[in-house]
Amino acid sequence: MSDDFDDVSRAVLRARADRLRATPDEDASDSTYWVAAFGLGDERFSVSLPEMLAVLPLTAVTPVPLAPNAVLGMLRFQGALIPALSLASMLVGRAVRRDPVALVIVSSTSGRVVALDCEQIPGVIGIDPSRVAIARDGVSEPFVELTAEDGEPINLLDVDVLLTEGAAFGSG
Amino acid sequence: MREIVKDFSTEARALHGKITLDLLAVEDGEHDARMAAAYERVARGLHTLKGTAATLGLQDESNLVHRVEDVVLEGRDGQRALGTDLLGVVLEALDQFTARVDAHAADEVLVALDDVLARLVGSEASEPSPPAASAAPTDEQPLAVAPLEEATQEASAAEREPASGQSLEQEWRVDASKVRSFSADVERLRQVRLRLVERHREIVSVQQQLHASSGTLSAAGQALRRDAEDIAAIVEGLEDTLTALATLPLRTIVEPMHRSVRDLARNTGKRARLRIVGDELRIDRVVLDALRGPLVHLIRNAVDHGIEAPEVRDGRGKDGEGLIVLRAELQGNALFVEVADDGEGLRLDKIRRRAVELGLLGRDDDMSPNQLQQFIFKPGFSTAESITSTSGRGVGLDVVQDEVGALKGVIEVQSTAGKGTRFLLTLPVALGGTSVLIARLGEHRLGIPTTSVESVVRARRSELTIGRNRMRMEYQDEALTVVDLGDLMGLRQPLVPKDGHHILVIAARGERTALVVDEVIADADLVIHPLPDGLDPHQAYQGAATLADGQHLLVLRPRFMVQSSTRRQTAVSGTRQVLVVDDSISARALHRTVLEAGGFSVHTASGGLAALQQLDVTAYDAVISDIHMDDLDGLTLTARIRDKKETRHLPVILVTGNVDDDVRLAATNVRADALLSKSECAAGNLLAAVQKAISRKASSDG
Repeated sequence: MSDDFDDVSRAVLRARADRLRATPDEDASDSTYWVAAFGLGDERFSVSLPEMLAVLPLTAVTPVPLAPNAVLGMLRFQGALIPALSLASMLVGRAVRRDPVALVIVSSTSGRVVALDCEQIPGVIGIDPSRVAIARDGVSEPFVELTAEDGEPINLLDVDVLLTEGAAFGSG
Repeated sequence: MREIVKDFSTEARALHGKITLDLLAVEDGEHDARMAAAYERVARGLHTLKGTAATLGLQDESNLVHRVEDVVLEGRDGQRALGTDLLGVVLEALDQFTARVDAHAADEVLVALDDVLARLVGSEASEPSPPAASAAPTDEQPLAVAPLEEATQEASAAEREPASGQSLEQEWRVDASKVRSFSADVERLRQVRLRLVERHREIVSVQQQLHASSGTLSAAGQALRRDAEDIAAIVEGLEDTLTALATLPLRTIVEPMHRSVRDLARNTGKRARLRIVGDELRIDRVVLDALRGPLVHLIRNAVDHGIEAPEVRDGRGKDGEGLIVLRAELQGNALFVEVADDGEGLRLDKIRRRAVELGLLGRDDDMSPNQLQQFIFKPGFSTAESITSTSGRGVGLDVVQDEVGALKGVIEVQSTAGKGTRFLLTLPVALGGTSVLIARLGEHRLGIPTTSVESVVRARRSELTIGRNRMRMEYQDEALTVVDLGDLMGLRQPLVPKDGHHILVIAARGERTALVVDEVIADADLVIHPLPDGLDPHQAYQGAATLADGQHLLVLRPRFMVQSSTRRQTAVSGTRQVLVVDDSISARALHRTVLEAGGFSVHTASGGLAALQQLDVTAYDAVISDIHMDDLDGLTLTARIRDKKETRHLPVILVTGNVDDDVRLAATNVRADALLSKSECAAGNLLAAVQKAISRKASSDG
């Protein structure tokens, strides 16, 4: 290690190196269902972390005249044009506290990629997988409500159902 | 060895297609020079098939072609007529030949040849011919193998002469993913070229501002222009190469359809022929492959449902032989394929009756012919009274529509009773660019393919006829309907053009309309990509292109512009119209959802200044505006609205993130009708507030 670092920095770097060297605790990673969580009005929504491809600022969206109401427009992501959708419009009756600032890019299991607006850049939180399994058991809804590990309620989006039910993204 | 047989299987199918076309040409035809040439091509093709099959050890197949060859050569030499029945056996024999080669390639069970061989031999027996010069098998040896020596000699000939008549160099196999990657690179290069052109324009502009004192700047500008021209040449060269790699002629899939039409017509007691126009067009291989199914279906439908029996056609004064025309045309990034027949057309009475039976339509529902025609694309919809091997099960046109939709294309139908039916498929193709005119409508830009723009004229109020419902203008002795494109796209209330506004005369499929735009900005050669699913329920767009500044440009479909504008009336409807002003695209979408659900017609503006411009030309029932906006905030906008005589009493509802006493006071000072927080808006209070403000104004007006 270089002598340019002071002791505190050296200790931080050493601790980081130790963490990276450590064997991943597979049991621990398996025991948490990670989601990207964000606020929508007074509620919290989330998408499964593996379904989230990126978070982008809500700019460079080109409006599409005559598109259905829930469509904000389109943008280019990884070389392809994808639709940007207003989550609050899709989940009719949902309020917003402030204007969305970010787009979370999600992919459905069928590979369809869309951008959903959100009021702030999502944070990552964990949920007990058994709660996810119970909440989703036999349910085919755009989202299910459950309790996150921080004890607060959170709505978990099912991207496939959301896109299927909003196939036309609302009436034009 | 299997790999070689696989290659031969592909080659044999291609050759089979060509031989079939020539055989159809000689069927019952007059012996003339064209027929002689067709016979020669058939003979050469059969010779190649026979020889190659023998070389690969496919002896039974080689013998089969040998038999076919005998029959064909007798036809060529005038020893027997190659009539419909005999030709049917010959074609069947060739079908079995390719089926068996395919089976060899896939290591599958082989189709038995006894039956077709017996019929080929039988045909010879029934019309004895003089002994052939070659060692043709006799009746006593129907399945005899051709002499090995002969087969070997013929194989050598086949090896010297590639089957399709093309050199091996023309048949390179290319990994499709590499072609896609190449295509993406070419498009990126095209974007770079556009940016260079834009940079050059900027330099010229800066140079003009600096009064061109700098020779260096001028030289740099010229160098940049030359670079842009060089890149343009490279892009064109690369695109040509790419086109050659990634495409095949349309004829690859449509030629075999001649045979389908012949066979199907014959099976249904009809006479029909197929005419193909534009089969030389080179189409993306992927599109071509996916297009085969829909085209086969449409053509078979035309024979089975469209073309009438010969006696019916005679009674209607038509030629006894029905005509099906397949016409293809490329315009920039759009491929148009038309399948038209001169048959009896769609029976709207039957369609209506069936739609009522299926519960798709009420007995007394009023529908236009065009709306009724759309029912044929419904799953399970069939008006056929009996099920045939071809159709009548109601499985078909919905699948065709789905398959065309999967290609991001559109299918339309037009039909005239007693005259025929015409299907038009419009499909996007990725290669090459489309010349697009870029028009401005307020703060929006839209693209229009220049091939559809007949002319651009400057508006003169004195030359417009403005009625209660329509605006018209004289153009080349025709009274054209004039429609505001901004209104057509739901962006604003109909705009009556002022002197100097641009009017575009748009033509599509024989119809014309005149569209008002604020300004024509430029034209550009752009690559148009289809829109993602779900964004375009009205099929208004051909797709989107990326401009030099990285922004996306939506490119309109000419057909949509013409059809929508002929239906459009400029009169203000009874729907109340409101203007939503917000610099957040999400907030605009949310307000729009709520207000349209409440029965309002909604226009939007992305800032205060844009809102003022729209208020200058449009009368709204209410304005809903965000307070915090960069260019002109909602409070100032409200004050400006109150300052103008025309809008002094216009209801204004202000919206903000958090409502506190300061904001409340400011809103009161500018005489806003209501003040809501964003969360109150989406919770349903916006609709109530707008309705209340409009009612209050109506009461005070009354």
